[in-house]
Amino acid sequence: MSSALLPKPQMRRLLARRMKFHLFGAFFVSVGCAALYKFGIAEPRKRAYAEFYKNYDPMKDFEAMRAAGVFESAPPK
Amino acid sequence: MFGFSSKKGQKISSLAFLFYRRVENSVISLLYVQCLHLTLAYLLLFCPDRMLASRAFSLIGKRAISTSICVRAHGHAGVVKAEDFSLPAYVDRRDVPLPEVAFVRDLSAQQKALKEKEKASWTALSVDEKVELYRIKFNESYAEMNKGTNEWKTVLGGVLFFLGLTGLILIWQKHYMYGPIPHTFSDEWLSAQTKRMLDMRINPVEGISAQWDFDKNEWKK
Repeated sequence: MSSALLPKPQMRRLLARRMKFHLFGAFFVSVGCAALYKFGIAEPRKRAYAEFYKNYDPMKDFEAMRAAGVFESAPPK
Repeated sequence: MFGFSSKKGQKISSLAFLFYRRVENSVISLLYVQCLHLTLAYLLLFCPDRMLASRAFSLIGKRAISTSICVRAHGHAGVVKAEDFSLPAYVDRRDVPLPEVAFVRDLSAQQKALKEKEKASWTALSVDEKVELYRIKFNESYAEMNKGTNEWKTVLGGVLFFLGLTGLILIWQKHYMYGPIPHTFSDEWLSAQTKRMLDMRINPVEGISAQWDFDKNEWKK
């Protein structure tokens, strides 16, 4: 140990400082995760469904499936 | 206590500093201890297995080995004996800054003389004497106590080793033990199966039928 004084360490508000740091961190991490999910997964999925049903003709789809022979009660013509 | 401006006051506070640092570091560690205790309580409540409980408790008290090493290093005469378990004990813990007893119980003649000198004015103590007084009262400083180990390397190495060993066992099993896989995994069956899935328009929005181009009769690029 040197004879010179050490700098005085932080004595007070230790928990307050830690809590502030972690409150901000938790908030931004959770908001970030939510945003990532929304714009990475939810929005593309909504777009995919919108695109699919924009020009969807169910009867045409049915006839294609019937022609392939997958229906028991609706055999190919 | 830290408003001293005189030289005499500063020399007293340098001795007190050594002891105050222990208090400062304990506050944050209390939070960790809370979480640890909650986890332990949960484990003990829902997993009444005794082996699990003892393994969980070993998280707290794994510094028993370093006590004897430090004693050798500082050449202290006295060490807390095992049969005194019912008396207040010394403990090196982050959340217990000032343990119930001093570390050294049986002082040598030299240490006794130093303790007598401590009763007089502290300005007469040299730096080495102050450190000796600290080491009489405490085993490890907070810095020594909180020092990390290389244990994680051992743990990671052990984990990876056993994962590899398990892999070898699985390879042996597949080669020597298991019978043939079902005929529904053959290439012909799988392609017929996929064709039927596409005919039925399975998962047409985001799944397999969305990857197939029905006009060109091929997979989409």
